[in-house]
Amino acid sequence: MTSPQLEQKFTSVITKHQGIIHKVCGMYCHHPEERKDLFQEIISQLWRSFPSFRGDSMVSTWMYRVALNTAISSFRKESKRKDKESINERIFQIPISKPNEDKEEKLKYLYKAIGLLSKVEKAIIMLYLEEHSYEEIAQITGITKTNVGVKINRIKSKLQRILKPMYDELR
Amino acid sequence: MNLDELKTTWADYTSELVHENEVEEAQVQVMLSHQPQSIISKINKSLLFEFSLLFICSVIFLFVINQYPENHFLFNFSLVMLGVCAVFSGFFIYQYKIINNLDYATENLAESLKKSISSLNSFIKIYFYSNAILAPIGFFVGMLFSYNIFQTEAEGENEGSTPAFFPVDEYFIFLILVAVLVFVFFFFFTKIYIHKLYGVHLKSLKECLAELESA
Repeated sequence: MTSPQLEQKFTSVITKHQGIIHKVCGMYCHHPEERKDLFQEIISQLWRSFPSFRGDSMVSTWMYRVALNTAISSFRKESKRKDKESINERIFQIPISKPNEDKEEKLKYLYKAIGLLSKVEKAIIMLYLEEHSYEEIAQITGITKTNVGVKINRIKSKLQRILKPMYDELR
Repeated sequence: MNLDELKTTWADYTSELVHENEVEEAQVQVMLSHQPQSIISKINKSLLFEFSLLFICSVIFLFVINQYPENHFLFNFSLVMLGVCAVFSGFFIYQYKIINNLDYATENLAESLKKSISSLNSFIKIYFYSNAILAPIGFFVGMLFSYNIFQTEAEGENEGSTPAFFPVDEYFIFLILVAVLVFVFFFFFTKIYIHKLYGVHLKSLKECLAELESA
């Protein structure tokens, strides 16, 4: 396959499955500028690995693998804004077309909960929220299915602990 | 809010996020032509610049060796400096290979983290040794060179003379002391500098791997 053909195929695959990259960016970066930088970095990494992608795994598995690896392992500068910004400041940067109070509250809690998770926990819970099977999560993360199950249960408990007071507050 | 509600909220949020930030094929092609300004690309640029400087210096020393073989001091000095340049070049090539080997693409998360940690460890080691050891040696040779010029002028010798390359006197001992001090300074400075540059990132990668592998 020639280089223009490869590029054409790549852009077509990326455009079709771009949701995966946006979701990873949304999980790891709160600020729009940071999301944009990470998005471009993931595209660059995907392009580098595209020639070696032979289709042994699903396109989505390959994309999640590259995107999560980039988000966790790359040399990005940690945002100084992160600590300074309040949750309320962040909420205005979330692109919601028609915000309503309830939705806004829930998003606020979602952000707060995500913010309290580690990088690894974020990767696992994101795959879980995206309805991936334990086997797929194990393939992407490189740990056993049993370990995936243990970790998901642990993260669920952690999230319950974080979300319960917020839920009580809502009532 | 329970976990099911969290799933719904996540789905709402991500669908809005994807919708708002959707890119066309043409935009992806533009992104491919503009490489992101990641730290790796910055390190690459810096390594390339340093390597170019080293190459120019090597050419100059080769020229001197070729043009002034009768001047023993210039000949020996250029030969030593050429050796230092060759060793530095080896370090640069090795650093370049390591830094460009940080490919997060093909492996799963755990394998990728292991590879990144191993590559970064090698890079830090090579960066440390090249700066903490070779830099004082270069400094010492430079001081020796200036000392020989001073000695030649003081003795009123003509151009093209052959002063002793390693004169053993008090000034030579002074040079060694200065070189030791420079070595100590570079050793600690490089250690702190490297830790500031890469130490935090390396620690974070190790923590991620430990967390991932813990049962």
